[in-house]
Amino acid sequence: MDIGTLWYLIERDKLHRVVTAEEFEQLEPDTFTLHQVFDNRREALHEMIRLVQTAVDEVSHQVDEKTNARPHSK
Amino acid sequence: MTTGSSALQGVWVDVLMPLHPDLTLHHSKLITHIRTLAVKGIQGVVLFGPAGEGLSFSATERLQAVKQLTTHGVSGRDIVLHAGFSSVAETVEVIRQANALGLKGCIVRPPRSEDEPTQEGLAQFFNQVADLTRGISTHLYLASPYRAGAPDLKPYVVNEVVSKHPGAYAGILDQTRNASHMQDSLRLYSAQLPVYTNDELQAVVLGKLGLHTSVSSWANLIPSVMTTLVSPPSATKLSVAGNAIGTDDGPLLHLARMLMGLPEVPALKYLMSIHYHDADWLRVRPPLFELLPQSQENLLKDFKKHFPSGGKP
Repeated sequence: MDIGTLWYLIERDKLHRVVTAEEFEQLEPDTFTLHQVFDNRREALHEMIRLVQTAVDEVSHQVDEKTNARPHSK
Repeated sequence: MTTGSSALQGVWVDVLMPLHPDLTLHHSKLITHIRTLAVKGIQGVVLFGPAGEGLSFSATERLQAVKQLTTHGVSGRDIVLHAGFSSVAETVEVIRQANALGLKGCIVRPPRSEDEPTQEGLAQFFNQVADLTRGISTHLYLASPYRAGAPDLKPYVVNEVVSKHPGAYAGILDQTRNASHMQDSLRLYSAQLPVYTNDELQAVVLGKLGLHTSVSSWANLIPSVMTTLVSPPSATKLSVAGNAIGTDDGPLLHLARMLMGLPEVPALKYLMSIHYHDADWLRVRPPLFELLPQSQENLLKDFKKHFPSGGKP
């Protein structure tokens, strides 16, 4: 499929990044995970922020669960 | 990119439809999903098929989605649209508009009817559609229904339509996900028309026979796996020993077992919601309903076990 100019949202070394098509082609295979592909940078960045926020929320939730599970000392 | 040929080659994804909270189609998420699939090597998309909850979308909604996609750079030559409606008029109107938008093809299936349709009636339906869309460049594909109980495409119907309108229909899509039915379709029709399947496991078998096409709902989730399995051997990577890499259909068997007994669209959409970290993908249109939490938990556990890298070959 031909889908024009694209912006790639990837995850590498546990960090999300938005890269251009040129940068994407230079990436070593198996060193990153492709998340989604957008036709403009703004949408790609917006999705990246949402993903980071989701990850933060998940970690916060896990921390809360562990804190609540800990026996309370008097 | 596809060519002007009427043949379907490679993986054509029966696309799942992301929905807004009011269950209208989320166009921007659909476009992004299709772009992402394209980068992962698929050949094209089939819109509003079984995975795309086609029966719950009106003609207007389907055409609106196509317009959004073509406006945002997806070529019409990479789109096949399900244009199956119960009325000839609606079917023809959608096909004509799809043609005006430059779509590669439209899929036409037997119409739903309150009464038991006759073979003659079904043949007349497809003949009328062919008559009223004569001269268009969008290719038409006949399709069997995808659930037992609906009127099937029988040899009388196909022979009648193909003899009266040679060239009007460019292929047959067997949507039954039934191996014996597919074998019958191949035996009965492959001399007249190319036969395609939307069953991933059968598509891999057909690939070994030299037919490298799959209309796949699973490719929403595992596009790279499907592309590798369906591609001709020359396009696959070879190991040092000369064996094709990634052509083991074991992952598909695992996925088939995972989905067995579950409603497929809600199950695939649940896995998409995990894949994209986006709960919007959970939504389905009635009469479908989201997977129950226990089923979600079991499915996710199995998927992570068999696809630890999230669907890479």
